[in-house]
Amino acid sequence: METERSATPLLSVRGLTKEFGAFRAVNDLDLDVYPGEIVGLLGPNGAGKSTLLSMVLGLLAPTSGEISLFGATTHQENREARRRMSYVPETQAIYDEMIALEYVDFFREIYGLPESDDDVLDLFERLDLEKWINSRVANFSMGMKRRLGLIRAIATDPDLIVLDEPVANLDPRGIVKVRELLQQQRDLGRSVLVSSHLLGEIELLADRVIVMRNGSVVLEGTPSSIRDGQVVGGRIEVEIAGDIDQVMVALRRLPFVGDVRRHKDLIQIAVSSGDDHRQKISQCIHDEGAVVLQMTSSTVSLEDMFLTATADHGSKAKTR
Amino acid sequence: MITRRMAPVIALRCLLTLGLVASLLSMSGHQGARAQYAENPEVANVYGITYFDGLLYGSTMAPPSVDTIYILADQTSFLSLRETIVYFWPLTNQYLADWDSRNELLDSVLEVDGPGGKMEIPLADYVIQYQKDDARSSLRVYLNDDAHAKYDEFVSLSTQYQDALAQYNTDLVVWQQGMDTYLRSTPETIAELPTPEPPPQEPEDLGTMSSDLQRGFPVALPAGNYKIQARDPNGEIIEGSQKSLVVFEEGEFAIGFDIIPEQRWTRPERSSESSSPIYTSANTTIYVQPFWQSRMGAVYDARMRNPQDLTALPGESTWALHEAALPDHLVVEQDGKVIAEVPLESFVVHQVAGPTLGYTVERFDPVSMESESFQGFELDAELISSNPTIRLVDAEGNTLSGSERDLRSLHPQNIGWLYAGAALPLVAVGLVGVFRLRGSQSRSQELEKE
Amino acid sequence: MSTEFSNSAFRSFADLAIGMRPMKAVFRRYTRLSSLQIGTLIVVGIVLLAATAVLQGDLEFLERNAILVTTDPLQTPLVLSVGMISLFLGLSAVIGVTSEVENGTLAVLLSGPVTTSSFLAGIVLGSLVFYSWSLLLVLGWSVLAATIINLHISAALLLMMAASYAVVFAVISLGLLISAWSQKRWTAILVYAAIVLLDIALRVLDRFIGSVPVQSESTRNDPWHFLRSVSGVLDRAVQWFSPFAKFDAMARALEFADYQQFFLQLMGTILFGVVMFFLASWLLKGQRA
Repeated sequence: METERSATPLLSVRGLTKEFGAFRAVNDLDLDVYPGEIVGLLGPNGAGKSTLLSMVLGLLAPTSGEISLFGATTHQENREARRRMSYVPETQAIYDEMIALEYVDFFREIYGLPESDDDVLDLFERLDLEKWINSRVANFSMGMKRRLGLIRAIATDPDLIVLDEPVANLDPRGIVKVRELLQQQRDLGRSVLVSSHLLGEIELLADRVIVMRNGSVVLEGTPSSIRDGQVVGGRIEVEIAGDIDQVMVALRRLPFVGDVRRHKDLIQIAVSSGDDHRQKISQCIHDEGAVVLQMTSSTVSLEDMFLTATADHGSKAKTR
Repeated sequence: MITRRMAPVIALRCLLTLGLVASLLSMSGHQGARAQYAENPEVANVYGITYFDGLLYGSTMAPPSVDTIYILADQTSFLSLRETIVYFWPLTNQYLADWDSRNELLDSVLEVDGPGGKMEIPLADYVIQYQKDDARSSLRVYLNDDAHAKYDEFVSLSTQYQDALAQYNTDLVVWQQGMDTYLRSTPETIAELPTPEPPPQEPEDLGTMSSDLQRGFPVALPAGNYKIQARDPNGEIIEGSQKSLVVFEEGEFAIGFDIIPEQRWTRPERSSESSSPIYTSANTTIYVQPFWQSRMGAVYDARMRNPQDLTALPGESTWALHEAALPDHLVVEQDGKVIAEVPLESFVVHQVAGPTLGYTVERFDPVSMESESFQGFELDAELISSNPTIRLVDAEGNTLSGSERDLRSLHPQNIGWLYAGAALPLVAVGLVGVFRLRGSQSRSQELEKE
Repeated sequence: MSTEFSNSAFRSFADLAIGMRPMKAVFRRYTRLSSLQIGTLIVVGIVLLAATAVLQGDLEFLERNAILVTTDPLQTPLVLSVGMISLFLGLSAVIGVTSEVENGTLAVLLSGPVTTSSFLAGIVLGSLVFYSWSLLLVLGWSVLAATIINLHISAALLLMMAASYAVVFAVISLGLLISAWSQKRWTAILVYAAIVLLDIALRVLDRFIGSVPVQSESTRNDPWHFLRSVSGVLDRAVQWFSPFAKFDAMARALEFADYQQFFLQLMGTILFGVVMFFLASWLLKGQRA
């Protein structure tokens, strides 16, 4: 399995937009995936993750924008580019009538590869499926099918693996095995684009996290930088004397403010950069004729930030 | 030579041809019923059509509701524009003409516009004649002066024949009276009587068939689609005379067979296609009667005979029956070698008495007092059991076109074995099902243990 | 739309040419899938039993009348067999494609080097391999019938067997088109069944109406005229579009040794299949980049 490391992204998305009638599912989105990294795609239902993946996979035509895969645009249906990519969907997507090895070999044939070699058998071993290598897939549990799907994806020798909810239906041991396998693939130079709603798993797995909301990227960074507040900045809580609603409107206009909520007499403000915004926030409150009674600042977990960045008004944001 | 029972269809056509006027009248032959059922009678101009079907002439008509007339190419058919009363006949969903009430030939000239340009065809007197025993080659159409001469000649011959026939009947009565006297006499008195004279000779059949003297437009055109209309002496186009005329070519001529099985002689089957074998049940002797047939487009054939017919499907073809074909013998072959030559013979049919019913067919004995039932070629069961091929040859030894047929004697009693063979995949299903069920159960058990 | 479709059809041809490897894999899978299923054996068994029953009808006629002429006794069983097997294969194609869509396997395939046309071609070819096995069994049945009943296997019958591939291809392509349009299994199955039943119903209706008295061009006082006209138009449409009607027409053409008509009907059937196939490919590709 070839290792490739380069500063040139394998996958580059620019200005990608997808509209379904009046509804804009993906909105002017930019995204890069570099060789040898695992990129986690986070977002609530309807954020546009699946639409984005479908367009990247060549299953859906974008309304506008460009997807460059290994230097070729997918809508030109560059077969070689698609041969270097493999996809594991959220659904089982497995042929029940086949035996496990036959299933893998079926895809290897499609990708122009010979029948399974020792590397493939090693994948079966790593994911605890070596005993079922000659068993009919119909008899597999959900978790076994998911592991087999991952083996199939890796066995086609891709440079980019696209995964949708890779650890769904897996037991804790299976989750660890899959995580280790994906990280090993990353170490071998392969890139992984993984979409999931399991934030903890993404935090452990991904090198870089992209959070989507309403078709746009709202947060991007490494899990540690997000966790340390270097990227997302953190949360500021303010108690004021004055017209709270008027102040909230003014705060929302500030460019570094992600979200503003009211919790009893407190205003909770999510900020999106590493700078200290407290002075600017005080100034803003003062400009609206209110007085700051109390101000506290804190960093948040990835999950906090995910919820904050993606939740609509009225949903909860948990502060650490 | 035409046999007595050989081709009833041909006999029917002879009748049709003989009475062209009678045929037209036959369309209005439901006087009583018409009064009850005919709907919307109205005066209209229609085309009377005397069409040539490849063997003989038939007649039909095209009412105003029909816009296309069909006739054979390169043969003379006759159209005549007539004023009559047309009514709708719900029982057959067709328009008919009440020729009895009105049947006026409209003086006009037929204008034809088609592939060969425009032409005018004036009305002509015509008569159609042929010899009964060889209609195909003897049929003649005579126009104008020739028609008058030939018709007069036919009437004269016919009158002579009628006179001779009347004389024969008179002589026969006298002869039969003499014979009665002779037969009733005792041995003692018979010696005094003169030796009976031979019976009177029946006058030779007229042989010639003729239509009445008719008048119409003689139309003989090459194949193509034409437009026709009739113009009266004032130069006006006659209402209802504008129609399309489809002139079509006749297809190939080939031999067909009527097949008479010995046990079921009242249920003959027809074999038109040489590619279709003739199957028989075991121990069945058959008699084959060949006839000439020609292939025609099904729509053309049907609408030539009745322009109101819409039953035929476009693209299909049909065989039009012609005269009997009766060469002296039929050749039977097996694997390309002649194994028999079957002569044309006459046969007599006897009904089997008793509860079994059915028939036996025997060769006709000219000495017996019976009359022959039919003529044909006998193919006995033993000959058929060798899966032979038959063909007809002419006097020069040439095979008559389309006369080849494969013969096969089938064994329907073996159908049970065929069912057994057909059921084999289902037996395999059972075995595979059992095998898979066992395999699946053992794998499931292993998975559960895991 | 027509330009778009013709461009798409051209690209589909190009895809087919360069997508041989993925097509081969799909083809092999569908070959195994269709040939090794118990259901297919059941279908072939039922088809052969039905063919035997039809033949038995002819043989009973023979026993009653002592002779049987004008038809090839093996032709109707063959037409019936081809009809039943092709309907089954069309249904298999419907279920095959919609299952791939619903299970997500189609997305996996199409995200890789598989194109819609190579995927569909793989299904068609795999199904045709199964059909070849079935036809071999039908041929074996015919040989058995010829041997033990002394029937004749004519050249026309063999020609019909060869031509039946076009019919099967057309029916499978129709199934593919319905699946590509619907993408939902039960919707596709219902639409497929409805089209098949409509085909049969229209032909039965036309024959029924055609059997009512004598037909006439007259319109007045003919209560059947309107129905006759409508059923005539519908029947002609069926004649134009139905692969089964075309197979019937091929059989009739061979009966009359009308090889030109046979060839025309054969070409019409193949053209129908090709158009359905590329329409299906185009529709399936419609949601793709």
